[in-house]
Amino acid sequence: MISIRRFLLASLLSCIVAVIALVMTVGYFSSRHEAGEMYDAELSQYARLLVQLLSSSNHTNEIVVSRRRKEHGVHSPGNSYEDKIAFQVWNQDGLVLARSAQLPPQRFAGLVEGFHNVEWMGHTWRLFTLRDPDNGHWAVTGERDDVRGELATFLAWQSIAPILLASPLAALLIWRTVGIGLRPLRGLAMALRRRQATDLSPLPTAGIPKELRVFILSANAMLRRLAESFAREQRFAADAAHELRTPLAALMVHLENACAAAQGESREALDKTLASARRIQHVIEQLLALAKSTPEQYLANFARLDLVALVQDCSAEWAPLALARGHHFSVEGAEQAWLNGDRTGLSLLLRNLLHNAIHYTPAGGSIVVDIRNREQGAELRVIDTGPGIPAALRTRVFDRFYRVGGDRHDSEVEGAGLGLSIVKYIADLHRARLTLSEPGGHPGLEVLVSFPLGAPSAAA
Amino acid sequence: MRILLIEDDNSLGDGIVTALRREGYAVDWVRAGAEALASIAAARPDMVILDLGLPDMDGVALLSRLRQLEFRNTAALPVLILTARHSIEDKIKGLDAGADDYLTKPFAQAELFARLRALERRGGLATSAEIRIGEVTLNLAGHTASCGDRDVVLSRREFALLRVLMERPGTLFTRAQLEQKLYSYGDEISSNSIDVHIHNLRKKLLPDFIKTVRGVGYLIESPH
Repeated sequence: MISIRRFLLASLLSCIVAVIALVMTVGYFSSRHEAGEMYDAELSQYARLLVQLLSSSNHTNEIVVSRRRKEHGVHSPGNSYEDKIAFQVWNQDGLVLARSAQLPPQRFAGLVEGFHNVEWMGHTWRLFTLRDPDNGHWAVTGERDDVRGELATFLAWQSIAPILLASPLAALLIWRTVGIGLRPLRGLAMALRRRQATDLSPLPTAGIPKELRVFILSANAMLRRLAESFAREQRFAADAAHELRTPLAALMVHLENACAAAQGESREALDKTLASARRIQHVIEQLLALAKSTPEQYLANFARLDLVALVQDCSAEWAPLALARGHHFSVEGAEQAWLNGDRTGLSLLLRNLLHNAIHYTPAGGSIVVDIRNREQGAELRVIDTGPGIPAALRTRVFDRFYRVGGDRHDSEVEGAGLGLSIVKYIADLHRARLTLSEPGGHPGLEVLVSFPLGAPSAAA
Repeated sequence: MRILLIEDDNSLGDGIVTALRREGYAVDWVRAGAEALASIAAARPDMVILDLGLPDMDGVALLSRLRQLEFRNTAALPVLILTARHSIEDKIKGLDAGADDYLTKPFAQAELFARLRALERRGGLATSAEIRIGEVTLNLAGHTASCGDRDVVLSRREFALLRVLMERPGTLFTRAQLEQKLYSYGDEISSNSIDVHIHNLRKKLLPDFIKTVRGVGYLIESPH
């Protein structure tokens, strides 16, 4: 992943190094130039001095100046650079009057006045040649070129070294400063991460740098539109619920009134109409439950709950119907089974499983709800003695609007083929595994919902 | 027994009026909150069936006003909310505002009648303060019970428990719900003693009058 902080550190550091290198190069050449001028001045003054001195004295012996390294076992004062400078003076006959020891006794350079560069003994020498117009003496003063380079390099290094030594410190400072500069971005990321899935309130704009402002303002505009569309959907579901339930209630009241008044054949027809109305009611409730439920809503309402208590509450609602149809009904297994889940969703799951079991099991059957605490999590079983579902169709029944047997399905059972798809949907949200099988020992259907131990939370 | 029906849907209101009259109730039907207040001011009904989505005011607001009004003793008026709002939040809001019961649309007439009968008894409105299911009769005024022509002596808790079950025949109560009901009568009770009381009631009445649903709770089945 690209890190702005690392990118800024690397690019700022390289910029600094590049600028230092440039400064160093420029500094080196200008130091070298300045040093050259100064050395040239020295050479010429030194040549003039030699010419003057030698013309006023009457030396006939050749003067040879050498660097005396030791005299009577004692270091004489001096400097190793002395080997790198030299001079020669000769008269108009070409006789050498005075010279540095490292120069040969012959004439060192051509008789042209001024500055020259000369290769000698593997080094470039800078020479100055001067002729005294009064007595015709020539003087040459010279200096090895690398002396000049050394000084320029030294001067350039002197100014660069502290900066280079300080660069780790600069890196540290850049790292810290960039970190501080990016703090609002990190704060924003944390604020986003901490939010509930259903929290669509705008992000705070106070104390936000102007670079982030545009981002936050457009994110807020998007959140607002999202919240509005969710609210619209919720309103639609609520309105639809109201608009469907009231006329349906009216239809059923009138049908029951008609049933109460009717006799014989018409009574029979009305009873069937009433059954169909109940089927419509059931389907509408299922569709509304689906319309109202988004994964975000379910996950946001996840809480610790006792599955056994929930099963008991749902059973209290459905067991009377089971008893009325002559079924044996019982809840067995654990006394408590705690898990992380959404109460409304799990109630809907249970309601659908119980509804199916009670309605598809022929009168006088048996329905058992069994809850166990396993090592890998809670297990919920709903076992009936109904016709079961053939193995080949056990995956298809989770499809929406699919019913075993299709249109030839026993129409006395209310349903639209939504029940098990809703069960699957809710089980998936709880990361629970859903298995259909035949119960051991008798025909029928066993629905197993295995919940995971570490159930998902809103942050997932 | 006069019932005030507050319902703005014409067809549904009409159907409910027919059904209630068939059951022997006198029914006044109004379609809005203001009308309802006027009707109550003119003549206090014995019970109210209230729809929540009224054209001029919210049903819950109307209920709160009824509970605050001093005249005609509306604070004690039994009110059954009948609404298309199914959510638990709506139900809690309605009950908190002072409704005595909450029934959602669509509904079966038998359920509406059973709940109205329970309201009558609770409000002391029933002509005979008696619940009779099969051979068992519970006299709420005299706190006595009989089975067939045999009088049965019940302890206070046994009577309270039997009353809860007989007031809502066909309704299954979990042990936790029964404990809660008895607790509201002022008794502290453990889940074990619920089982003990049921055992005693069976011995004193009929062995299969109270049904057990294993792992869930108890109920008395509806006579029909």
